[in-house]
Amino acid sequence: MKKDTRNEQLIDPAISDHLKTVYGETTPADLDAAILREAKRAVRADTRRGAAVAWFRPLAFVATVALSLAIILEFGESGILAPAADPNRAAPPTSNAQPAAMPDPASGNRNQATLDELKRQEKSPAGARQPANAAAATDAGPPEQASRSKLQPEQPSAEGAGAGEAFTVESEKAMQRLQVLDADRAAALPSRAELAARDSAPAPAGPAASSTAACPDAQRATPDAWWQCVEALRKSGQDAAAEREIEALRKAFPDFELPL
Amino acid sequence: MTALTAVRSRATLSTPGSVPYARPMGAPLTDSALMLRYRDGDTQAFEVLYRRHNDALYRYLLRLSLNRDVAEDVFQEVWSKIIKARHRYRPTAQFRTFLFRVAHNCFIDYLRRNSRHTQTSAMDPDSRPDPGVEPDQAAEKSLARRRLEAALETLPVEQRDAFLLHEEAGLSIDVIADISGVNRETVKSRLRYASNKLKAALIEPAKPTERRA
Repeated sequence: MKKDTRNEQLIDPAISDHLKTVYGETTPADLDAAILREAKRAVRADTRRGAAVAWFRPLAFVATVALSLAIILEFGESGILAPAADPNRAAPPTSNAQPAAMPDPASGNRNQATLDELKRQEKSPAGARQPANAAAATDAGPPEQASRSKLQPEQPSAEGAGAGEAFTVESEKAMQRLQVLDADRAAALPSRAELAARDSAPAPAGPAASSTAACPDAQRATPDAWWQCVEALRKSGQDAAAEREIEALRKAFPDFELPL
Repeated sequence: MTALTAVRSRATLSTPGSVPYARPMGAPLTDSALMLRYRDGDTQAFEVLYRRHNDALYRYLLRLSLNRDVAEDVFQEVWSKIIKARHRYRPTAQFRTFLFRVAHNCFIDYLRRNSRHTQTSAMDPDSRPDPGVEPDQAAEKSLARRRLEAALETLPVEQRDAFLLHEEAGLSIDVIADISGVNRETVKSRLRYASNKLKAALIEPAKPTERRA
């Protein structure tokens, strides 16, 4: 019997002796057998589990490698991992990009007209560029040719190396403008139904109807109303749209003094 | 079993009534060493370990629950938990302490699950006659056992638990305090109360009862 040697004897020794004398019980044999059986069964289960786990790790490794290879090959074939063919496409359109001129206000599609003009200009020789209007003085060559010039920098120019460099710069600018136009056109897609309806109606005498206009045509009818729309755009944080509307307002009503 | 280096444990070898191990070439394995061997798959090591502690644990649970069926259920539950926890076993304390801590907790859980646990003695001491005991001695023993059981029944479960952990498990005051979740002084007072009550019930009234027998 273990006594707490640091303290007084807490249990009367007579009681301890009595306990030992009276009680000599042992665990029932069937209980012993059941527990020992359970202990053996647990070890056997471990062995079986261990054998199964022994296969899992190498199998998991092989599966991971195979899956990775499959993904790499799949993406490689589809070209997702390939480098971009045209670096110019990656350049995001700037918010301050000014829209191209409206060569034909009566057409009802400013952007499409500008693209047509650019395509026409593409056919003209390099270096001989006619800007669509004063605001688009930085207009450059056709975007397709500009992109081609980017890919083939050694393309010979009729005016020599200096003109070729100027052409490259101009073509880059044209490419940027084209991206802006594309963005605008993409933003205007929902309103094409409106365009169709507008086309059937007679074109208004004043400002040209625009499919990408942030301000409704009703407000574009008068400069004051148009200006109110611009202010509303500014207050709502749509500065880029407001700038575009201001530009359009200036063109439509050049005599209107903008209260800036 | 090959002889492994082991530290001789006083707790293992000095328990009275334990089966005397023949002293082989090396010292007997400690409980922790046996448990670790069992963890590694040696079922014979578990059997050795089991045989060392099964009777003391059984008697502890028997006296604590005062019900043979309950004692056997909890006994089996204790060993099942130890078998399942073998992979997590770390020899941070003596195995005996670990074993009785699990037993104490299992019994407390049992009490909580069965809040209407009756402490009536459902033990039939006469059903298991001690082998090699004369009939007269057996009768006397049976009587003494019944008196002890009756005396233990009068103890609150906390005092009974502390008393049995001290007497059957051979644990120290500090370990009992740790298992029970109380401080050392509380354990000491429980043991004192238990001792006084049992003494009053067993030793003093024993003389008149024996005359009657």
